[in-house]
Amino acid sequence: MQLLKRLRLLSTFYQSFFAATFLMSLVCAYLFYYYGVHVLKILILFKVFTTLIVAGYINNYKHPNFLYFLNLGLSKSFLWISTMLVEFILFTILLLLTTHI
Amino acid sequence: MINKLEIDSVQLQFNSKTILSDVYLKCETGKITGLIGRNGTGKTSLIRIIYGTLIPNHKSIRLNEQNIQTPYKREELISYLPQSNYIPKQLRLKRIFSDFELEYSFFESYFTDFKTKYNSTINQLSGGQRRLVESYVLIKSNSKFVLLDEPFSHLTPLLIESIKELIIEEKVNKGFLITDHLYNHIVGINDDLYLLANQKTHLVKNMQEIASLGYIKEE
Repeated sequence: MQLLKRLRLLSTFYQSFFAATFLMSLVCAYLFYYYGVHVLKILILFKVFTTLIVAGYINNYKHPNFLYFLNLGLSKSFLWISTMLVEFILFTILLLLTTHI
Repeated sequence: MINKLEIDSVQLQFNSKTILSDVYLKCETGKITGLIGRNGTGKTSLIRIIYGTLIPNHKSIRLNEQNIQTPYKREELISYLPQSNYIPKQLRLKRIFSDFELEYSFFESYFTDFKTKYNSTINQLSGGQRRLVESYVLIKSNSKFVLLDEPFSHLTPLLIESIKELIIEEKVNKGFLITDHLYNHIVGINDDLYLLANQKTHLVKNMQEIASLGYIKEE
Protein backbone atom coordinates (compact mmCIF):
# COMPACT_ATOMS: atom_id res chain seq x y z
CA MET A 1 0.00 0.00 0.00
CA GLN A 2 2.79 2.41 0.93
CA LEU A 3 4.55 1.53 -2.33
CA LEU A 4 1.40 2.28 -4.33
CA LYS A 5 1.02 5.58 -2.51
CA ARG A 6 4.63 6.52 -3.24
CA LEU A 7 4.20 5.63 -6.92
CA ARG A 8 1.04 7.72 -7.07
CA LEU A 9 2.87 10.68 -5.52
CA LEU A 10 5.78 10.24 -7.93
CA SER A 11 3.32 10.16 -10.81
CA THR A 12 1.73 13.41 -9.58
CA PHE A 13 5.13 15.08 -9.48
CA TYR A 14 6.08 13.68 -12.91
CA GLN A 15 2.85 14.99 -14.42
CA SER A 16 3.87 18.55 -13.51
CA PHE A 17 6.51 18.54 -16.28
CA PHE A 18 5.88 15.37 -18.31
CA ALA A 19 4.26 17.14 -21.29
CA ALA A 20 7.29 19.41 -21.82
CA THR A 21 9.99 16.75 -21.45
CA PHE A 22 8.08 14.14 -23.48
CA LEU A 23 7.68 16.64 -26.30
CA MET A 24 11.46 17.16 -26.29
CA SER A 25 11.97 13.38 -26.37
CA LEU A 26 9.65 13.13 -29.37
CA VAL A 27 11.57 15.88 -31.16
CA CYS A 28 14.84 14.04 -30.43
CA ALA A 29 13.38 10.74 -31.63
CA TYR A 30 12.26 12.36 -34.90
CA LEU A 31 15.69 13.95 -35.48
CA PHE A 32 17.38 10.63 -34.67
CA TYR A 33 15.14 8.87 -37.18
CA TYR A 34 15.81 11.53 -39.83
CA TYR A 35 19.57 12.10 -39.42
CA GLY A 36 20.72 8.79 -37.99
CA VAL A 37 23.19 7.75 -35.32
CA HIS A 38 25.84 10.41 -36.03
CA VAL A 39 23.67 13.10 -34.33
CA LEU A 40 23.15 10.98 -31.20
CA LYS A 41 25.63 12.94 -29.06
CA ILE A 42 24.01 16.26 -29.98
CA LEU A 43 20.54 14.86 -29.26
CA ILE A 44 21.60 13.59 -25.83
CA LEU A 45 23.11 16.98 -25.02
CA PHE A 46 19.94 18.70 -26.25
CA LYS A 47 17.78 16.39 -24.14
CA VAL A 48 19.92 16.96 -21.03
CA PHE A 49 19.97 20.73 -21.58
CA THR A 50 16.19 21.07 -22.09
CA THR A 51 15.48 18.78 -19.14
CA LEU A 52 17.70 20.96 -16.94
CA ILE A 53 15.75 24.04 -18.03
CA VAL A 54 12.47 22.34 -17.11
CA ALA A 55 13.93 21.21 -13.75
CA GLY A 56 15.15 24.75 -13.09
CA TYR A 57 11.69 26.11 -13.80
CA ILE A 58 10.03 23.61 -11.45
CA ASN A 59 12.61 24.28 -8.70
CA ASN A 60 12.19 28.06 -8.98
CA TYR A 61 8.51 28.53 -9.65
CA LYS A 62 6.83 25.49 -8.14
CA HIS A 63 9.05 25.02 -5.09
CA PRO A 64 6.22 25.28 -2.49
CA ASN A 65 4.74 22.11 -4.01
CA PHE A 66 7.80 20.17 -2.84
CA LEU A 67 6.49 20.63 0.70
CA TYR A 68 3.41 18.60 -0.18
CA PHE A 69 5.61 15.65 -1.04
CA LEU A 70 8.00 16.34 1.84
CA ASN A 71 5.11 16.31 4.33
CA LEU A 72 4.22 12.90 2.91
CA GLY A 73 7.77 11.57 3.21
CA LEU A 74 9.17 12.08 -0.30
CA SER A 75 12.28 14.24 -0.45
CA LYS A 76 13.13 16.55 -3.32
CA SER A 77 16.16 14.47 -4.32
CA PHE A 78 14.09 11.27 -4.29
CA LEU A 79 11.48 12.90 -6.54
CA TRP A 80 14.06 14.15 -9.04
CA ILE A 81 16.20 11.01 -9.14
CA SER A 82 13.19 8.71 -9.61
CA THR A 83 11.48 10.77 -12.29
CA MET A 84 14.71 11.49 -14.18
CA LEU A 85 15.43 7.78 -14.25
CA VAL A 86 12.02 7.12 -15.81
CA GLU A 87 12.46 10.10 -18.13
CA PHE A 88 15.76 8.86 -19.57
CA ILE A 89 14.53 5.26 -19.85
CA LEU A 90 11.58 6.59 -21.85
CA PHE A 91 13.93 8.69 -23.97
CA THR A 92 16.12 5.65 -24.72
CA ILE A 93 13.07 3.52 -25.61
CA LEU A 94 11.83 6.19 -28.00
CA LEU A 95 15.21 6.35 -29.76
CA LEU A 96 15.38 2.57 -29.99
CA LEU A 97 11.86 2.42 -31.43
CA THR A 98 12.87 4.70 -34.30
CA THR A 99 15.47 2.12 -35.39
CA HIS A 100 12.64 -0.40 -35.91
CA ILE A 101 10.53 1.80 -38.18
CA MET B 1 4.63 9.34 25.42
CA ILE B 2 5.73 12.95 25.82
CA ASN B 3 8.16 13.98 23.07
CA LYS B 4 10.35 17.02 23.40
CA LEU B 5 11.84 18.96 20.49
CA GLU B 6 14.46 21.57 21.34
CA ILE B 7 16.53 23.94 19.27
CA ASP B 8 19.38 26.15 20.39
CA SER B 9 22.79 27.54 19.38
CA VAL B 10 21.30 28.87 16.15
CA GLN B 11 23.49 31.20 14.14
CA LEU B 12 21.98 32.48 10.91
CA GLN B 13 23.52 35.14 8.71
CA PHE B 14 22.49 36.43 5.29
CA ASN B 15 25.22 38.42 3.49
CA SER B 16 27.07 39.00 6.78
CA LYS B 17 23.88 40.36 8.39
CA THR B 18 23.03 38.40 11.52
CA ILE B 19 19.39 37.28 11.58
CA LEU B 20 19.43 34.83 14.49
CA SER B 21 22.15 34.57 17.07
CA ASP B 22 20.89 33.37 20.42
CA VAL B 23 17.86 31.19 20.06
CA TYR B 24 16.36 28.62 22.36
CA LEU B 25 12.96 27.12 21.75
CA LYS B 26 11.22 24.06 23.13
CA CYS B 27 8.17 22.27 21.81
CA GLU B 28 6.49 19.37 23.61
CA THR B 29 3.68 16.88 23.11
CA GLY B 30 0.56 18.33 24.69
CA LYS B 31 1.68 21.91 24.30
CA ILE B 32 1.05 24.73 21.86
CA THR B 33 4.12 26.89 21.53
CA GLY B 34 3.61 30.32 20.03
CA LEU B 35 6.28 32.27 18.19
CA ILE B 36 5.70 35.94 17.53
CA GLY B 37 7.88 38.76 16.32
CA ARG B 38 7.94 41.79 14.06
CA ASN B 39 8.28 41.46 10.29
CA GLY B 40 11.75 40.40 9.21
CA THR B 41 12.89 39.15 12.60
CA GLY B 42 13.40 35.62 11.29
CA LYS B 43 10.32 33.68 12.41
CA THR B 44 9.90 31.82 9.13
CA SER B 45 13.65 31.26 8.90
CA LEU B 46 13.63 29.75 12.39
CA ILE B 47 10.74 27.45 11.51
CA ARG B 48 12.53 26.34 8.33
CA ILE B 49 15.71 25.72 10.34
CA ILE B 50 13.74 23.54 12.77
CA TYR B 51 12.16 21.67 9.86
CA GLY B 52 15.61 21.28 8.31
CA THR B 53 15.10 22.87 4.90
CA LEU B 54 17.10 26.00 5.76
CA ILE B 55 20.71 25.37 6.74
CA PRO B 56 22.04 28.00 9.14
CA ASN B 57 25.68 28.66 10.04
CA HIS B 58 25.14 26.67 13.22
CA LYS B 59 22.30 24.90 15.01
CA SER B 60 21.51 22.17 17.49
CA ILE B 61 18.19 20.34 17.23
CA ARG B 62 17.33 17.60 19.68
CA LEU B 63 14.44 15.19 19.89
CA ASN B 64 14.20 13.68 23.37
CA GLU B 65 17.83 14.68 24.00
CA GLN B 66 19.05 13.02 20.77
CA ASN B 67 20.58 15.20 18.05
CA ILE B 68 18.79 15.24 14.70
CA GLN B 69 20.11 16.97 11.60
CA THR B 70 17.31 16.74 9.05
CA PRO B 71 13.93 16.39 10.78
CA TYR B 72 12.03 16.85 7.49
CA LYS B 73 13.26 13.47 6.27
CA ARG B 74 10.99 11.84 8.88
CA GLU B 75 7.39 12.67 8.01
CA GLU B 76 6.19 10.74 11.08
CA LEU B 77 8.21 13.19 13.20
CA ILE B 78 7.43 16.62 11.80
CA SER B 79 5.08 18.43 9.41
CA TYR B 80 5.35 21.98 8.17
CA LEU B 81 2.71 24.39 6.91
CA PRO B 82 4.47 27.12 4.91
CA GLN B 83 3.06 30.61 4.36
CA SER B 84 2.44 29.94 0.67
CA ASN B 85 0.06 27.41 -0.85
CA TYR B 86 1.86 24.08 -1.03
CA ILE B 87 -0.70 21.60 -2.39
CA PRO B 88 -0.39 21.08 -6.17
CA LYS B 89 -3.35 22.92 -7.66
CA GLN B 90 -4.61 20.07 -9.82
CA LEU B 91 -5.20 17.71 -6.87
CA ARG B 92 -8.76 16.92 -5.80
CA LEU B 93 -9.77 16.96 -2.13
CA LYS B 94 -10.57 13.25 -2.44
CA ARG B 95 -6.97 12.57 -3.39
CA ILE B 96 -5.46 14.92 -0.78
CA PHE B 97 -7.38 13.26 2.05
CA SER B 98 -6.39 9.86 0.72
CA ASP B 99 -2.70 10.87 0.62
CA PHE B 100 -2.83 12.03 4.24
CA GLU B 101 -4.96 9.00 5.21
CA LEU B 102 -7.71 11.17 6.69
CA GLU B 103 -11.49 10.71 6.78
CA TYR B 104 -13.21 13.28 4.59
CA SER B 105 -16.56 12.62 6.35
CA PHE B 106 -15.14 13.89 9.63
CA PHE B 107 -13.81 17.00 7.90
CA GLU B 108 -17.13 17.80 6.19
CA SER B 109 -19.05 17.27 9.42
CA TYR B 110 -16.80 19.90 10.98
CA PHE B 111 -16.84 22.25 8.00
CA THR B 112 -20.25 21.84 6.36
CA ASP B 113 -19.39 24.15 3.43
CA PHE B 114 -17.26 21.31 2.11
CA LYS B 115 -20.13 18.81 1.71
CA THR B 116 -20.15 19.32 -2.05
CA LYS B 117 -16.41 19.76 -2.52
CA TYR B 118 -15.15 16.19 -2.31
CA ASN B 119 -14.40 16.02 -6.02
CA SER B 120 -13.26 19.62 -6.38
CA THR B 121 -9.65 20.43 -7.08
CA ILE B 122 -7.85 22.54 -4.49
CA ASN B 123 -7.57 25.26 -7.14
CA GLN B 124 -11.38 25.54 -7.33
CA LEU B 125 -11.61 26.57 -3.68
CA SER B 126 -11.47 30.13 -2.38
CA GLY B 127 -8.22 31.34 -0.79
CA GLY B 128 -9.61 30.82 2.71
CA GLN B 129 -10.99 27.36 1.94
CA ARG B 130 -7.67 26.36 0.41
CA ARG B 131 -5.77 27.57 3.47
CA LEU B 132 -8.20 25.67 5.68
CA VAL B 133 -7.62 22.37 3.86
CA GLU B 134 -3.85 22.91 3.85
CA SER B 135 -3.85 23.56 7.60
CA TYR B 136 -6.34 20.81 8.44
CA VAL B 137 -4.46 17.92 6.81
CA LEU B 138 -1.27 18.81 8.70
CA ILE B 139 -2.98 19.48 12.03
CA LYS B 140 -4.60 16.03 11.76
CA SER B 141 -1.52 14.29 10.35
CA ASN B 142 0.31 11.56 12.23
CA SER B 143 3.40 13.67 12.91
CA LYS B 144 4.67 14.15 16.44
CA PHE B 145 5.23 17.86 15.81
CA VAL B 146 3.47 20.32 13.53
CA LEU B 147 4.99 23.66 12.55
CA LEU B 148 2.35 26.14 11.40
CA ASP B 149 3.47 29.34 9.69
CA GLU B 150 0.52 31.74 9.55
CA PRO B 151 -2.30 29.17 9.72
CA PHE B 152 -4.94 31.87 10.33
CA SER B 153 -4.19 33.94 7.21
CA HIS B 154 -7.16 34.39 4.87
CA LEU B 155 -9.54 32.66 7.29
CA THR B 156 -12.79 34.15 8.56
CA PRO B 157 -13.15 34.57 12.35
CA LEU B 158 -15.43 31.52 12.54
CA LEU B 159 -12.97 29.32 10.69
CA ILE B 160 -10.12 30.60 12.87
CA GLU B 161 -12.07 29.50 15.94
CA SER B 162 -12.65 26.05 14.38
CA ILE B 163 -8.96 25.68 13.57
CA LYS B 164 -8.04 26.70 17.11
CA GLU B 165 -10.46 24.07 18.47
CA LEU B 166 -8.87 21.44 16.24
CA ILE B 167 -5.37 22.37 17.38
CA ILE B 168 -6.43 22.16 21.03
CA GLU B 169 -8.02 18.74 20.37
CA GLU B 170 -4.95 17.43 18.56
CA LYS B 171 -2.36 18.68 21.04
CA VAL B 172 -3.06 15.61 23.16
CA ASN B 173 -1.11 13.62 20.55
CA LYS B 174 1.46 16.10 19.32
CA GLY B 175 3.28 19.36 19.86
CA PHE B 176 2.50 22.52 17.89
CA LEU B 177 4.69 25.46 17.02
CA ILE B 178 2.61 28.32 15.62
CA THR B 179 3.56 31.69 14.28
CA ASP B 180 1.05 34.23 13.00
CA HIS B 181 0.65 37.99 12.95
CA LEU B 182 -2.85 37.53 14.35
CA TYR B 183 -1.04 37.16 17.67
CA ASN B 184 -4.18 37.48 19.80
CA HIS B 185 -5.30 34.11 18.42
CA ILE B 186 -1.98 32.54 19.43
CA VAL B 187 -2.01 34.18 22.83
CA GLY B 188 -5.49 32.73 23.37
CA ILE B 189 -4.42 29.10 23.00
CA ASN B 190 -0.68 28.90 23.65
CA ASP B 191 0.99 27.13 26.54
CA ASP B 192 4.36 28.80 25.95
CA LEU B 193 5.04 31.95 24.01
CA TYR B 194 8.35 33.04 22.51
CA LEU B 195 8.97 36.49 21.11
CA LEU B 196 11.71 36.88 18.55
CA ALA B 197 13.46 40.23 18.88
CA ASN B 198 17.04 41.45 18.56
CA GLN B 199 18.00 38.09 16.96
CA LYS B 200 17.03 36.22 20.14
CA THR B 201 14.02 34.34 21.45
CA HIS B 202 12.47 35.61 24.66
CA LEU B 203 10.06 33.44 26.64
CA VAL B 204 7.32 35.92 27.51
CA LYS B 205 4.60 35.54 30.12
CA ASN B 206 2.34 38.56 29.72
CA MET B 207 1.38 41.49 27.53
CA GLN B 208 3.66 43.88 29.43
CA GLU B 209 6.69 41.79 28.47
CA ILE B 210 5.49 41.61 24.85
CA ALA B 211 5.09 45.40 24.82
CA SER B 212 8.46 46.00 26.46
CA LEU B 213 10.11 44.08 23.62
CA GLY B 214 8.47 46.38 21.09
CA TYR B 215 5.99 43.97 19.51
CA ILE B 216 2.88 45.89 20.58
CA LYS B 217 2.35 49.42 21.88
CA GLU B 218 2.67 49.92 25.59
CA GLU B 219 -0.61 50.92 27.26
